[in-house]
Amino acid sequence: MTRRFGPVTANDDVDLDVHVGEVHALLGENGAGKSTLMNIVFGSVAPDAGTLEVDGEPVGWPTTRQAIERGICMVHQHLMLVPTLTVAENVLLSVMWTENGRRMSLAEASRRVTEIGERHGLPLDTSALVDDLSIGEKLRLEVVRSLLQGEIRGGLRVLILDEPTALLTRQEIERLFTILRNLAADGTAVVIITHKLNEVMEVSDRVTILRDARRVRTVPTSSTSPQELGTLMVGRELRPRRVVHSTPSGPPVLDVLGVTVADHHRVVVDDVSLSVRAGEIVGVAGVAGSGQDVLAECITGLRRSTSGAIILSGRDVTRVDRRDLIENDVAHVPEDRKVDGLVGSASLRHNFILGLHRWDEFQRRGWMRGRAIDQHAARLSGEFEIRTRGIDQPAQTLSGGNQQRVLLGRELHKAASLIVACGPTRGLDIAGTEYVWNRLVEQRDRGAAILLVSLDLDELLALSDRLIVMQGGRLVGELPAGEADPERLGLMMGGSAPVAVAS
Amino acid sequence: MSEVLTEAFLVGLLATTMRAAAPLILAAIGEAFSQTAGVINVGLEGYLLTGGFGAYLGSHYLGNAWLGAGTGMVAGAATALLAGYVMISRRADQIVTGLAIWILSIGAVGIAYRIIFSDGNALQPQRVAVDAFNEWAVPGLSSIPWIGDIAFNQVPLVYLAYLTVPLAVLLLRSRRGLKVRATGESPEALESAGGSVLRIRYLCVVATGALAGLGGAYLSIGQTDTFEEGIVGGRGFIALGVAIVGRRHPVGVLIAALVFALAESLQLWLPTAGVDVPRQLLQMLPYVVTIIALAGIFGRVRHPRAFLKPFERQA
Repeated sequence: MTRRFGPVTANDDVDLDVHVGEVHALLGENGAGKSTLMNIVFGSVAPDAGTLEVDGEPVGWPTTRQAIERGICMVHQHLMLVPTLTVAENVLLSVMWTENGRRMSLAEASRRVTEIGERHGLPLDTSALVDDLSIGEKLRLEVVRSLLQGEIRGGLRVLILDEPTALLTRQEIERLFTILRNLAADGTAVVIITHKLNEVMEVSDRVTILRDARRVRTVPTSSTSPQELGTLMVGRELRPRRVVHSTPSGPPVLDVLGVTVADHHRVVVDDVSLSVRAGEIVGVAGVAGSGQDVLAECITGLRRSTSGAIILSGRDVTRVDRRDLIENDVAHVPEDRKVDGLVGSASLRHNFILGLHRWDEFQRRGWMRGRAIDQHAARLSGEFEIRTRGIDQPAQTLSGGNQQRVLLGRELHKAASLIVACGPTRGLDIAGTEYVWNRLVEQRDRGAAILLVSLDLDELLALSDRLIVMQGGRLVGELPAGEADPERLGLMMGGSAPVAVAS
Repeated sequence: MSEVLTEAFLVGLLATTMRAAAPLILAAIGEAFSQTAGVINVGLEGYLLTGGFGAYLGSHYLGNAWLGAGTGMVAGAATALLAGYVMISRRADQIVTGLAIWILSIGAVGIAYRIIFSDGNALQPQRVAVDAFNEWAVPGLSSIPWIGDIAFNQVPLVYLAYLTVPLAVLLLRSRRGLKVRATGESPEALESAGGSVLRIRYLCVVATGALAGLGGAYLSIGQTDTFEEGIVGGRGFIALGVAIVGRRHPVGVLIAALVFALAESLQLWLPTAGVDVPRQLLQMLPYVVTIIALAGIFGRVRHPRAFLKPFERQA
């Protein structure tokens, strides 16, 4: 199976065989080609080359409708449901006819959904609006709908699920896995796309690993281990996650002095003081909404503090424009790259100079210098190993990991004295995370002061030389890296261990 | 006030309202479906105009008002098909396309009218009377006091307009109605269920054009027996407002159309009742109601998620 999108090859001569009665995991990092492969089987993407056989018979390239007629159903990562319709109406939308060619009625659709639900332990309220369902219930609806499709076509042959567990709770995941195993036992070939090693081990009978659009190997799950799978997926051994901590002695680059921020008469940051030295990563821990994001906005000039002062390399920047800050001394990796970091519809070339477009390097008397901008974009694309069709490609068409690389490339290129990184690895896979971490540590070793705001404790513990903890807008604790562990941080974040250890 | 509210005044006012609502209903009911499927027809004014002219032309050459209504529908549908091609297949901006279609319709109809009916003087086309619709009193119902005079002594196109409302309610509840709603709300979900977003959108837009064409036919050969370039007079834009204020539901459209039509009729009837209001002020009434409605005074209307968004199939 081969599929190219322009010069990017998503599937390069990939073979896959899935047997009746098995749960087959398709494992790979973001952009390895898992979803593309399954979209080909389901008929929503046409391949450039390859053959497809169902029950040993070669079949042509299906349309989605033909795939469904053959008993192949797919549950997409972004569920394909209409939120303003009810459960039964959503079923009716895709299941139009009954076995004997009659039109399915709303009443019949709802009766059969209830019936299948009872048989497989997937209860659903057929008159509920899909918008009101939990994610788990929506997923259940997709599975029931596939089962009904299968029932009408004389059996569900193949059920494909694309990263179904992303938003589920632990209990819901376990229930889903039980259902999948039961389906397989009833003769359906189940394919589950994932990049989580433990899920592969838990649910699958065999696993196929994809990497860089190619198949690495297919192995029985029982004969492998998470370590082996991780190595196969990433292409090399996963290194231990801790990095060497530094003990900086340089002068403080950032001093935050008693900053308070009120938002509509509510104090969201309450008298916070901290400092970050050159060559140091200071991690800010806290449950979501503890004021850490607002503090980061103040430091990067997106928001004004109500009182207090922010000193950057000896200069009072409390009231300084964001433009001044980000053009010179501050690199900012915002939490939501799609909203605050990049302009999705703009090309890489323009995203690479966003905020830096007034630099003399890129403009002369208000006229943009096209060649310099292109060279800059091409150089950074190479340096940050961005997988792209070229600098004309709109940022939103890149994978999440590649988008993050664009953002990092732009911000780190500034060689700023202060880097404020908020959730810099959100939504990234193992290799992407590792890449971002390495780059940040590189910057620290170069002498940058880094303020790392993250909800991910593993990330904070791995990178930070010093940790501070925020809770309800206040700074409630400070720990050197050596004394921090997840339990202790967790207690402080929850407010039950107000022990401030001076550093 | 008692002299104003005479029987003749009220019956006349309400009968006019019934009539004036008909083209609005015809134009807005299809538009409600189009918008539910995610497509706005800003060119509705143009569909009405080509429909009105098409009906006039048809009746002129074929000598029969019903055949004229048919050619009016074809003309409206053809105009909508052109708009649909640009909006749906070429994925152009819907608002800009709609405005272009409107202006194009004015130009095309103006030229055709002058060429065909010029009689040697292109600046002064000849007015030619054609076969037009006559009032048809519904047997029995039309003799009910008051109600008969208001509702059941109209031209057939008016009855047709009101008939579309229950039909549209049924359609909305049908499987095809589900598909229309899915198209506007999550086109990907419809495609994944094996449906075709493009097909549904084309169907809605072309049906909107055909219905608006019928509305245009009413304006030319329904209420008169001739044609004039200004016959539509902004009703297409008012119908856009009717579709939105009516929450894109047939019954809502019916109610909203009646409110707008009442505003239009008051403009005609108040002077006859001796109410001394400047005529220009009264003429503004329907448009003022439109602006108030669009500004969300009657409550915010939630748009479908894929409203105004062109759909592109993967790969």
